Amino acid sequence: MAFVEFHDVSKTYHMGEVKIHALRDASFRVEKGELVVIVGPSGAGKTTLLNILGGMDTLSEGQVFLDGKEVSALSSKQLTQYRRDDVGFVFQFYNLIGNLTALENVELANQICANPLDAETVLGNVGLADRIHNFPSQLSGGEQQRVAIARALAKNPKLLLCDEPTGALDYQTGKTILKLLQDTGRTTGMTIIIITHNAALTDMADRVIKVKNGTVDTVYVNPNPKDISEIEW
Amino acid sequence: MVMKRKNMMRRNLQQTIRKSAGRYLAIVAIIALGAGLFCGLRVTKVDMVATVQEFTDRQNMFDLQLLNPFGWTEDNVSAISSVPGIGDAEGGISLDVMLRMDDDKDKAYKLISIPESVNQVSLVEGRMPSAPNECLADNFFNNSSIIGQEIHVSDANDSDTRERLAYDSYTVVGLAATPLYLNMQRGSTSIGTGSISNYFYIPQDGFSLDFFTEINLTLSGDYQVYTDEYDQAMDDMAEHLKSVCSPMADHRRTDILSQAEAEYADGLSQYEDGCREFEASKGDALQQLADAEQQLKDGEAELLQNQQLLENGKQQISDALMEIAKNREALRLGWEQLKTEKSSAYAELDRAESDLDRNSAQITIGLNQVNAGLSQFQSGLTQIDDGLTQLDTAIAQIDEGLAQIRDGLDQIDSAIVQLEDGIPKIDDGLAKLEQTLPLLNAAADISQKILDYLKENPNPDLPEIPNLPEIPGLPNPDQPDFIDQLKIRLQQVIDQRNAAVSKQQELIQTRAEMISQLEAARTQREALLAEQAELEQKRAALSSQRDDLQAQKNDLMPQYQSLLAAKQELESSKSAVDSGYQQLAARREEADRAFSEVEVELQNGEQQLTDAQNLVHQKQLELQENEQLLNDARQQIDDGRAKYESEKASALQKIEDAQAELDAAGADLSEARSKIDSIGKASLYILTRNTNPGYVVFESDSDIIAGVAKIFPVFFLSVAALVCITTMTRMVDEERTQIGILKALGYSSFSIMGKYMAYSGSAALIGCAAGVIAGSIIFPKILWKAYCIMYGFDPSITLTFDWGTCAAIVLSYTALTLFVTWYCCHRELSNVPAELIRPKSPTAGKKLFLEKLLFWRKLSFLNKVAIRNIFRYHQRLAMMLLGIGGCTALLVTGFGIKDSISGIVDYQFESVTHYDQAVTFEEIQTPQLQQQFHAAFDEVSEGILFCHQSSIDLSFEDQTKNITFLVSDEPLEPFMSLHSGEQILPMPDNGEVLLSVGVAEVLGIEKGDQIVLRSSDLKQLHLTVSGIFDNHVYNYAIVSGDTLRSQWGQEPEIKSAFVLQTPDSDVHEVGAAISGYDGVLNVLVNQDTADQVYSMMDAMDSIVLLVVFCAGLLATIVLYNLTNINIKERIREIATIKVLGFNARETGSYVFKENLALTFMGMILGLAGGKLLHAAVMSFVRIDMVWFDSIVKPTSYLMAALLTIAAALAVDFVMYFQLNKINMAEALKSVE
Repeated sequence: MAFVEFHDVSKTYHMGEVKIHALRDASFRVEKGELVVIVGPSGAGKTTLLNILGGMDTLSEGQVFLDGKEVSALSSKQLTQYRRDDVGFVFQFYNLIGNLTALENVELANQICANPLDAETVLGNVGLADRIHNFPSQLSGGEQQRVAIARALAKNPKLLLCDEPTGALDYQTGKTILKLLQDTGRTTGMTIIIITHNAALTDMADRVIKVKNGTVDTVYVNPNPKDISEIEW
Repeated sequence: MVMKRKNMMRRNLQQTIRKSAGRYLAIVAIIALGAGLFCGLRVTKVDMVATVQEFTDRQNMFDLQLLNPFGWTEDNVSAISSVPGIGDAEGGISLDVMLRMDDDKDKAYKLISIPESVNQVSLVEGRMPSAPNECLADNFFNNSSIIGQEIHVSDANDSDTRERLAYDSYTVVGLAATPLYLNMQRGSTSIGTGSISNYFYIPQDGFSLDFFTEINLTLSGDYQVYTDEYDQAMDDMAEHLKSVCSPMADHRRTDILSQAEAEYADGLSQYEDGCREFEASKGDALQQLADAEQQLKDGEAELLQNQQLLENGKQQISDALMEIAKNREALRLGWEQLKTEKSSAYAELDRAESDLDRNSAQITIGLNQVNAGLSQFQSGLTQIDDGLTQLDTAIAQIDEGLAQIRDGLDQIDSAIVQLEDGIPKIDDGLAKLEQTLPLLNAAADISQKILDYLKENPNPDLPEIPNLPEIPGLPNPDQPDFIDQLKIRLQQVIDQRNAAVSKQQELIQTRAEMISQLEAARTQREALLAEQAELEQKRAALSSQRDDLQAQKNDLMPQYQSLLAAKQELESSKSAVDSGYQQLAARREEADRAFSEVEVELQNGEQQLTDAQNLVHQKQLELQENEQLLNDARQQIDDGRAKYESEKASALQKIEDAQAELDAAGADLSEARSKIDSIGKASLYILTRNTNPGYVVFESDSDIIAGVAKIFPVFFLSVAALVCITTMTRMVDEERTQIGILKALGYSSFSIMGKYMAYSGSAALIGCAAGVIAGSIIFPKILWKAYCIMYGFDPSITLTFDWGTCAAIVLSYTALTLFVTWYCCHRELSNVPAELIRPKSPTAGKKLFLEKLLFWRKLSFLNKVAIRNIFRYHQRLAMMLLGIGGCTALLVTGFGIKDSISGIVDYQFESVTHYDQAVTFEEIQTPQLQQQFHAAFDEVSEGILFCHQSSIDLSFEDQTKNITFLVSDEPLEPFMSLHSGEQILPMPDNGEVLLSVGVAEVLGIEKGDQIVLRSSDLKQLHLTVSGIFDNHVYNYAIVSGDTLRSQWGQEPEIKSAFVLQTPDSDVHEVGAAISGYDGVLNVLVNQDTADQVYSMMDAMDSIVLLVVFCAGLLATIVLYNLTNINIKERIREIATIKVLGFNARETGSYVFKENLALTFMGMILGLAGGKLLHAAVMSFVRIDMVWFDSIVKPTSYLMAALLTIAAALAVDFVMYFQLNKINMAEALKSVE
């Protein structure tokens, strides 16, 4: 069994009489240690897919497995525990707690999970050793995203989920963030899934999943992933 | 196009309202609550005044009342009614009367004539009286069960009062309320207990009076009650009437005076005629009586003489009989004496003889015993002597044996010595032998060998003779016979040796023998020694035995001697007894002779007595005949006397009656005279409606509500503003982007703001409308129900709608809301659209000064976050503190009002009035009566204080108040404790008065002020206030008896007493016992008063409940709104931590920790603020009869705190589920 598996996953929202199919019969698998890029246009169902995998949303049909555990069968309480221990999130808008310093934001996450990494070390690893006592409002966007990544990594998750991590960043900063993610994957062997609408990023991935109209269009393994610095868009 | 735009905006507004229904409703509710409370409290006062206005108008309550001691005539009434400015004028009668219901005690009631126009009664139940002996009862103190009962005029009333009533009893036919008594106070009187219990209305014909006691007037024109204008109008008219009515009063006095003088003159002349007639007839009657008396006296004197003779005869007979009886008695005594002497003499003789017999027998027994003893002694002594002889012989034998033994021993000892000497000698011999024996043996052995050699070698060469020893005596070898010689010599040597050996043998033998002999001798000696010891022992035993025997004998000898002496004595006694027997026989003979002589003498005396008795009996019979004759005579005289006495008595009675009649007539005349003399000057009293206690007190009572209304609404208004600010700020924040887009689309700031103005404005209008309508109806109704405990004239309040107040409320709330909305919007709207479309930069996080402190590090991470969040949003911090603090303060105030109310009753009855019973007597209690009362209740009482108690008017600077007047010569402690704070106040001196704090505060009297007290008969006391004492229930003026004596020149009327019971007695039992005591008019059990006041205090409870309810509601609304907005505001943050894996409990604690901390801080502020708010409210709240103290109990703070926390927890509980419902994916979707 692969590390991550989606079997015919569907998600339907009911808006009164109207049914909206956000996801339909989506199936794919991801191996452990891969850097996966899920690519597709806006509204294709990328985020829904990620939310389901991250335990933030439930599915309507199908099965989802992570490391042999059936995520789709967990109760809401178990889902909380799952989010706590197994997955790390990075969002487009960072979602840092404004009232906490960089260090405290990281500590907030790692104080509740089972095997946390040291907050200061992780912040050092993402290149923020000298900004740890700053509040988010005192940091640039890239720095805030680094704090967000550090917060996700500090939990020592099995899976790192990134939802448009560069969406709110300029080109250069976006690149450094993607490089950080790629380097993190290579050095730690962590499975990372990045959602993006930028097709250029598929070159950096070990595996590419293309989503279109609420379903998985194609999945392919990239035999020669490029270093991010080689990619231009 | 214009229409369409408007439509869009309206739809937008409707959607916004629907989306934020909770918040919108919160604004509506808070405004409704505030407006309702404000309007309700304001309008209640107005409604209450309106109710009085309506009632007094309907019943045509008097504006002025005219009084004068001589009353008014019909002419006066019509004259006054024609005075310009007067509406109605009606004469009326009122009279304080002691009345009695069926089984009840006498009580003082006010009887009032049923008026036709002024002060009309309002029939509550039953019907109006149709006959002059029917009446209406007080509706406040009676229920319908009184209808049909009869009230009786008590005998305790004075004659004047009784004469003024046409009937002795009246039948109750209905219940009525009157404008004269709006509240439950019924005023004071000079009869009974000094207070009126309630009133009855009777038709004017029910009185038998030819004048009116008062005239009631109304002013023409409509006036608003409790206005200065109305007061002025009454005062003006009163001034005017003074000049009109004074001549009437004077005229009335003159009329009455001259009428009285005429009547008096008639009476006086009649009286004088009567006196003369009486004197004449009295003389005749007395003369007749004197004659009859003389005749009777003569007859009686004759009778007395005869009687004397008879008495003398009787006396002689009785003397003789007495003598006979005396002699007979002497004789009887002689016989008895003889008998006793005889028996005692013979008894003595017999006793002597038996004594002698006993002595002789004892002597014989003694002798026998002594003889037997003697013979025993003799045989014993003989035995002892025999024993001694035997013992002596045995001892001699033993001594002989001992001598033999001693001889044997001497022999054995000498033998032993010989043997012991012999043995060493033998030993010497043996020793010598042993020395020589080896030489001899050696010599003998050689000799033998030589001999043996020689035998074999008969010729030996000499040299061949070996080893010829050195044996003395050897022959010289040169000798021929040497061999032989040698042989002989050798043989000699051998023989010599053999002899020595046998000698040794012999010696050894002898030695052994000697040793065995020595042994035997020693053994024998031992045996002898043993025998000797044994014998000596035996001898010692024998000689001690002998000593014993000798001692025994020595002991026995003195006894034997004494026995011999006893025997001698006994023998001499025996001869004495024998001579005794002879003497006894001689005495017996002498006694027999003497007794027989006495007997003969006695028999002679008896015969003489019998003769004398017979003679006396004959005389007695004669006397009895004479006596009968005398008795007949006496009977005749007695009859005559009786007839005389009865005739005399009736004559005297007639005279006395006549005298009494004359005296009474004289007294009546002098009474009439003094009455005429005491008729005072005509005095006129013109009273305005402001002297009516019910009417005046009502205004101050309704002011309580107005007082509360002054503070609370302001408070609610500010809280409403706070809620509005938070809500609108949040809404503008939420719709920031929308505002930006609308602006970008070209909408004007004004039209965009219009939406928010409409939102908050509509909420304000709806809230105000709901609040004003509900408040105007609900509050007056609830509060009036409470007031009805004290005011019984109208069970339903007149509801009014106060347009002015309502408009003010609507305007103020709407204006405030709109202003707040404008304030929240204008900042955002001043931004350019581009700015607005971008998300608002979040409030920057920052460290607090707190974090520099040491304890910061010790806090858990979540606590740090909570604290930082608390201080991050200043606006919300302020809202929470104000909102929660305000609610807690309101709760503290609510509970505090209750404490202040219930506290005072406890204080009053525990720390001020200690007495258990207040007793009122019918009569003035003289020291003697006081003593009797003391004695009667000594067992159940610890103390009794007699004093004067009545009700009196206190005047100070134009203000008058009816209070309780207490006069005592003794200190009031321990019946009442007079203190001001901790300071104990002494009894007032002459000319001083102590006032209770309630009346002092209301009238603004301070220590040292001058006041005037005016009694119901209009006597005045001018006094200096010497102190103001703590007292909550009723108002008191306390003065000393000396003050009355010096200012009024009279003793205080002691008709009251306070009783302090022993702790174990039951108040009601003792109360009943005192009630049954003769002369007790009324007993007031203090406990009952306490209960009554407690029930009055219940009226205030509903106000408290109202405040507490409103505060709780307010707390919940504020908390709900703030928490709701807090969550909405931070929904991304909450979603983020949920995504991070915070579970429901952790998320809840992240949010609510902050909430609870704020609640707690607000609560602390509120507890402090509540104390101030409570003090402020209490300063506005006043009730006439009760003085409040501003206290809040610790439990009330606790309750307020607990309720606040409970509200916070309840809100958090509801919000907890809302937190769980937050959809993370939805909340974290990219920013709009």
